[in-house]
Amino acid sequence: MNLFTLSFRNLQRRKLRSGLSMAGVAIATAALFSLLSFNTGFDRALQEEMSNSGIHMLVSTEGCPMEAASLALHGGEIPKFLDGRRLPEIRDVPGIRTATGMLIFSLIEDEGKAIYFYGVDDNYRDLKPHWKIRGEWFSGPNSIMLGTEAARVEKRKVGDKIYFPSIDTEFSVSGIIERTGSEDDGFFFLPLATAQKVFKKEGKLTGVGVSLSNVEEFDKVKGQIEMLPDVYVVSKDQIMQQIMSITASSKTLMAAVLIVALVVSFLGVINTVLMSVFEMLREFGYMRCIGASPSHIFRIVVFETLMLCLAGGIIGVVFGMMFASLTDQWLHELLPYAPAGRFIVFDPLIMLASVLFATLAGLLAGIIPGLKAAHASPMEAVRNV
Amino acid sequence: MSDLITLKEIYKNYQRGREQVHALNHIDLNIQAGEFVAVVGPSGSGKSTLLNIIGAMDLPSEGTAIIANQDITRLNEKALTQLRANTIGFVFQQFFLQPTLTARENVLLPTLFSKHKAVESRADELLDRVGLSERADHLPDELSGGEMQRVAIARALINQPKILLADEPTGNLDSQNAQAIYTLLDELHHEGLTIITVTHSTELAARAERRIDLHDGAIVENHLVKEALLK
Repeated sequence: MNLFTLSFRNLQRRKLRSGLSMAGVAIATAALFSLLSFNTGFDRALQEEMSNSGIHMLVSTEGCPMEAASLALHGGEIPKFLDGRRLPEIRDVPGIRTATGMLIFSLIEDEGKAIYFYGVDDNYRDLKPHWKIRGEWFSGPNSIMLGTEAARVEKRKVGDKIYFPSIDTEFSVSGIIERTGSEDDGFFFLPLATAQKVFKKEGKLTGVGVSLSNVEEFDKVKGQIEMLPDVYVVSKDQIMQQIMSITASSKTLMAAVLIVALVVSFLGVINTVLMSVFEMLREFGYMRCIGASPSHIFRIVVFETLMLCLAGGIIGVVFGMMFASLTDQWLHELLPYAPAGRFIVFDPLIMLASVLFATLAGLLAGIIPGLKAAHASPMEAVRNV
Repeated sequence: MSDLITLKEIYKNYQRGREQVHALNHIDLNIQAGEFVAVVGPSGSGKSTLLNIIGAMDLPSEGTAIIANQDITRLNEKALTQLRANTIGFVFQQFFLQPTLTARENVLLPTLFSKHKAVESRADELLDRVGLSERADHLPDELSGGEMQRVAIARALINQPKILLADEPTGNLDSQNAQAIYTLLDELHHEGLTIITVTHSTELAARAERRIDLHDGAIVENHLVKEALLK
């Protein structure tokens, strides 16, 4: 038996109260764990998505970079279109490895679900060297390629037909792109000319994705492209910064909620332990009679809060992991822009940091009740007998 | 025999609201090692205050209190704590057993705070000694009042104290359980332990070697009882 045993047994005496405090710590730790995971997971997923997009810069018609960022990564429509004649002109700029025209369009199908069509030319393959296609690239003007998720939702396989009533067109599925972990998984890819025809945007482009032969020549190439009429160039970094800035306010809000949760659970622990200290003052007084020093009593109380917070911290992290997919789903819906892929992944460092934080909070929460208990006088035990 | 406890001109005053209470008035007392002393007197006569000072739980307002060669009025908090841990065993009317610890763990509790190591076999010996070897793994709420007090006595003995202080040790017990405690205290006394008990029980007082009568905080009688005189 040691002081830990005593502290542990004291916690067991008030199972409900201890359990509720532990639940408070667990919820706060789960929130902390999720936020820390989200912060690193979001940046990582964004980097991956940018890298998977294969473009160094996006050329669109003049507009705000937010729109450019959105359409490049997430699919979406903007009201202005780039003149298709710019595409060969851009290709002629020295230093460009690939320039591919894209027309992005959405359709609202039954149940209000948006379907994103990506009209792309053959050069698009150069930007996606990592794609693995079951079946083949477009085999004709009415062929379509589906992302894995799109194929799953539409229940289509290679060779199947797919009909879209709103554009009254039937396509034949030439290929299904194996899972990439990016937004590509949910897109419907059409040949560029077909997309321009069915969406009645002949000669129009949403943008041109550009890959450079040498990234160090970025500024030079950008300057030359911007000399073309009605074009706007956005770099990959600008897109990332733009996305990060629009998600910053959401992150701040979440951090504020988290701080409130942490403070509330911290106060809950202090309250629980303080109440038990008041109830046990006489017992502590008796312990002083039989030789316990103020330091012994202080440690008994602090161990109690430490155990409460350590257990709460571990439970919180376990629950954070268990509900990671739900949290991911919620965050993807909540954020104005969320890259594909999971934010909350198994990261031992974040898990350790979350548990350590809860333990440290326990240590701090134990100080006030611990000092109160340590001042219990031996006379406390025999008074009012 | 040398004096284990020496109290010289002890006064204890405290404030109760606006009233100044004189709990002890000019107490001079010597107790030798191995004595069995009963402190008796009406409620409010200062018995428990006297016991608290002997137990280094409280300090006198005036006077000198030397317990096991240490003047407690000159000791700091740490030294007082060590004195209580290593020299004195306490038994109270309310038992004060930790409800979440078994009988054996309760007996071992003082070793957490003293220089003595927690040795389970010693706790089992003491529980055997008080007739509770079969109840070692029971929690206090599974024990009778008499059993709880016997556990409390075993706990008071675990650090091999020089002095056993018992404040109304049979106050909450029926006569049968009280008898068992009297017998146990008798045995401990015959083994050489110094015992000082505060009691209202005439039977317990009669078993002591010396009886001290307190009244209004002063010793009105301090004498050897009949059996001791016969010895």
